[in-house]
Amino acid sequence: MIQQQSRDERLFHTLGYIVVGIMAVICIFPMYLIIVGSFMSNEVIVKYGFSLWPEAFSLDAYRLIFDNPKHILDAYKVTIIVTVCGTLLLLFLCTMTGYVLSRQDYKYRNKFSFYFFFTTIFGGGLVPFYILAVNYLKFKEHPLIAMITPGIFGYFYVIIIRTYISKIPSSITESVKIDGANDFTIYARIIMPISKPILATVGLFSALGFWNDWFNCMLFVSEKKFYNLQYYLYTTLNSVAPMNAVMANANISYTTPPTHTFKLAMTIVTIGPILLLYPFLQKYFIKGIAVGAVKG
Amino acid sequence: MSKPAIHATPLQQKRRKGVFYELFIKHPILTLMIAPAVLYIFVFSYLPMLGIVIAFKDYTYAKGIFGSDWAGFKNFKFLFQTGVIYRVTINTILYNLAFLTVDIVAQMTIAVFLSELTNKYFKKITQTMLLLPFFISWVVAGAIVFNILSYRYGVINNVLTSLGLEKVDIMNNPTIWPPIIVFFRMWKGIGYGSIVYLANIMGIDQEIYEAAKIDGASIFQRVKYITLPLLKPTIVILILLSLGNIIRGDFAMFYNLTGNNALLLDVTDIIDTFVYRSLMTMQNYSMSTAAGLYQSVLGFFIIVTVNTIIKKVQPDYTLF
Amino acid sequence: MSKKLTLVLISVLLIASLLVGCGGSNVDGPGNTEPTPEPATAEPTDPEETEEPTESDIDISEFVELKMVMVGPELDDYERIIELVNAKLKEDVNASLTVEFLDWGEFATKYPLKFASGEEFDLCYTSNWSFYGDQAGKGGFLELTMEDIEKYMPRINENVTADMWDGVKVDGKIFMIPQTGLQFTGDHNNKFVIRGDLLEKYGMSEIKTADDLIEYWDNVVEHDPDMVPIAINQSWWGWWVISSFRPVKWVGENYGAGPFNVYEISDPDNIKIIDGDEWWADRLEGFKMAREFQQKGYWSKDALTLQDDNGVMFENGVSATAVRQITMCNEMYEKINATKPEWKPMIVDIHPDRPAPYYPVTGDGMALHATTKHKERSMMVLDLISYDQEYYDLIYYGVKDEDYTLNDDGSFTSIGAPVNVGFRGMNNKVARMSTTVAPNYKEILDNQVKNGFHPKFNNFIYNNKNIEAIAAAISSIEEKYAPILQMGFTDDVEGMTEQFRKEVEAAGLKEYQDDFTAQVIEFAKRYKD
Repeated sequence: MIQQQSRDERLFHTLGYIVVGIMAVICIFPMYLIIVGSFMSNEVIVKYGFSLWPEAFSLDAYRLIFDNPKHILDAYKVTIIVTVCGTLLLLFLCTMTGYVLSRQDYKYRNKFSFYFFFTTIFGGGLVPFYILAVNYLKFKEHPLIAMITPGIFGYFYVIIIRTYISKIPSSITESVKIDGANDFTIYARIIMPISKPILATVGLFSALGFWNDWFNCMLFVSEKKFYNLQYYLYTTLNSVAPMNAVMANANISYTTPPTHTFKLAMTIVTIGPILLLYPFLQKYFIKGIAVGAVKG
Repeated sequence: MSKPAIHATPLQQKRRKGVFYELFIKHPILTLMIAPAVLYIFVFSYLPMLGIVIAFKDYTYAKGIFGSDWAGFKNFKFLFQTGVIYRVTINTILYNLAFLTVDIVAQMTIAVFLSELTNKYFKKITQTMLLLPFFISWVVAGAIVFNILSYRYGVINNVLTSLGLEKVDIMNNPTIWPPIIVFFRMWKGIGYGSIVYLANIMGIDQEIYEAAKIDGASIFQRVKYITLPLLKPTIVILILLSLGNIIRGDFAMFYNLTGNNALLLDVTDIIDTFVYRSLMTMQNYSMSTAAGLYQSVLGFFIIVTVNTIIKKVQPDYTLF
Repeated sequence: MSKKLTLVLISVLLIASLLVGCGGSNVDGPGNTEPTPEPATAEPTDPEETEEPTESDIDISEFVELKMVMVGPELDDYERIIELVNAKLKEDVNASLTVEFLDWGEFATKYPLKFASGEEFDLCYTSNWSFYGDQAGKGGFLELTMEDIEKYMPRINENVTADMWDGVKVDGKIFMIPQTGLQFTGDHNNKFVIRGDLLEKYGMSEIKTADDLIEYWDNVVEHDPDMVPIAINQSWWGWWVISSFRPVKWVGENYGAGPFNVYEISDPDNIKIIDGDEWWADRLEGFKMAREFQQKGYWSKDALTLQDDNGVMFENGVSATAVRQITMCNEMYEKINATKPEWKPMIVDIHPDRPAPYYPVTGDGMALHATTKHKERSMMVLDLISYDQEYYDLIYYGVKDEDYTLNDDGSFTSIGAPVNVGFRGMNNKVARMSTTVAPNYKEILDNQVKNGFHPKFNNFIYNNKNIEAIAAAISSIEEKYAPILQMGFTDDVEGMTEQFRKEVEAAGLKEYQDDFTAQVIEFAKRYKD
């Protein structure tokens, strides 16, 4: 019997290592191309495309980025502030909402769910949002708030938190309730501590979201010192081709369009730091949390 | 959607004490806790939602959103002017269904394996590697695809020529594009998506596994009878969430991966690329809002239908 | 549950709309800043005009800060130069100017939003390709009256002719200050930049005719398999190349292109329309040529998906030819000659005798925002920066004797790297010529002037209000077939052209053309008067 089990396990593990390993290689390969490409001369890329080894090694792209380190450092600062504040606010708002929606005895939870869900399908589009944000909420005058506030709630996050919390055996909360703890205490003292994996997940997602956001920065920020990293990347990615034939005829002289290598190097520069954060969160996805331990 | 009368219990009958009682007397703290989100959504989603009216207006700057003249359904007309909308709607739905299936299967497979494997370093490193594509914008991803498939210097053609074979024109061949798109979509989201499943697996009580082990369940059986059933609510919820937006496509992905290649349009045209092509030569918020509303309404009907069915079958899994 | 919920939602929406409606019915449009509910386009100048018509001296006692919205990335020397400009502006008109640059990637999103939200700014870029007619029709710009122009913009008034003002009119009103630079256009009128070193390598002496160019391209295909003769990645590049090799047809003062047709308007009472079989037969010839060129390998098999455009590919040595208008050819020449003189770049004009249509005045220009609070000062500043030679030189060429030296013939020579500040929308007569231009630039330009003509159609601004749905549908069809046909990517040219025609006709082309024709007739009559 024992023999049988371990053979199964060995088979399963071998399969696992192979599948995960292959997938990981597929995922890292383009990244490798990007890194190599960022060290190549632009001319070679335009001519021959990406290659496995930097032909005509060049640091031009990085030199261009760090030519004016103040801008890029400012951008890092802005991105980090926005990511940290935004993620904390989001976690607070979404876990609280998720907890309430998970409570079976809260009669209107489905209606509230619908109230939130409805907005994931229907939206008024860009114009009304922009008018609200600029004319009423004065986002243009508060660039940091403009980049943080639009992203601090997500129904998707609420839902995965809710689903996770629903699975926590009610026996845990029941016992505390008898002791006279109120709902907020239960949420803060009991539910949150045993929900670390999902907190880590949502926290990571939210951090990635804020980190990758360029749209709000594009809309609301006009002062250079408040540009975030992704917006820098965005402007380099999208500033080339004329949009239509009339425009092509408009004799527009494009000032040296950003090069391929520059795009690639910018991609590397923007990814770096958030990857450093990842290992700290990873333990929550790797170590199991024994709910049973809390129960006892 | 009528009330599920079958489930009416004495408890439910007792609840007929009104909204005020439920919200503010019975659960004041819960209500207080959900209030910030309700308010936030009201300001940031429901207020701007009023702007939907511009789909029914001849919107001009001078008159503003509410002051502009009514236009009836005129702004929707362009969608149905030719028969293309039906084809692209079906394309969009088929693509989204393919994404949904492939993504879930791939992400869950990775999550299940990662949760069972024992080598810590392997797990940490591969997990980080899997997350990398998430950071690559579609513009750069498009450049990579181009570099792999290009006729002139693409990796595949380089390999073919070095083997003494004829070059092939892959870029302009429509048949292979649906799998390519599905693959790259899976590639970009696999690390990100698997985290949700992984976190949920981590939330499963370890005692259950221990007990199963003692009972002699093999690892395959443990996955099949413990892990997967416990992941089911998450899967169902994720499917439901994406159904609401099944009529929406990721424009940036389609545009950049295919390089806006006109030869491929029969198989890569989705609503969003169609609307883009239609409106690129004009600047018309009313018409783009109308297109968005078409997507929303269709999506809404689909999700409400599915949710109603699920409510009948498995009330625990409903979205609302 | 849904009925109740829907009720709740509807009531929430109602309350919200009431809140918004009461709180600011006059706040959501650009009319917000004005106390009068009158829309901005409806003679906004009247009250002010009546107040101070007799005053000849303009009141500039109050210092104002003006904001200008510009297209394109922020240019390198902007901060340094704008300080100098502002010092002068303070002295001359007691105002200062800040510019917000909208980079190409964000322009399409942000520019219209700025109008839609009624954000505060005074001056902005506009042009036919940034939807000038549309924006003006929606009330985005302030109407400019001739009195205002004469009073506040004397230099502009001097340089812009009545005909040009006529050309920017939308519904009979002026909303734009057009460019007056020397520029030409026309698909058939493009010039080429080629590489002299390759020419030598192939043992060719010069390129004078279309046949020479074809020979050069055949040589590239034969001897330099790593290169392509010309790189195209968008349908119009293909059409530009093709048009250079086809006879000039339907071009002239009285000709103008409409949707899948051509108009001849010499007699406003009897407008001729070339469409249907005749028009499509001509297109088909072009498509066939595109197919032939594509198969000969004049451009790459990747053309449909290529990210790099014609110029980038040329600059990086992938393609042997660049195609564009003469001014842009020269810009390319100057760039290559400065960075890669060993290529011996040269501009070739394979058709020195072809008629050269002038670039439309609406192709580049400036406008005042409908809600500007500083109308007078905005106009005065615009007048200075676009036509006062001192300002213009400062903005476009930098500080004299520091950034450039002025030559006796009026041309300039940059000292070190050329200063890079110039705004778009002000490509004007006062512009100077650099001394680094191509040797034959002036000659070709003179030739263009000699063959130059002003198409009447340049003054025609079509309003698609009546057939928006059809225009959108046709646009989606055109974007599907045009790239394939104009770049030669189908074996069955005739079949696909037929299909293309069938689809646009099914989408309502007739109605579109009729609407267009009606407006053309009206325009032609007006033009005659």
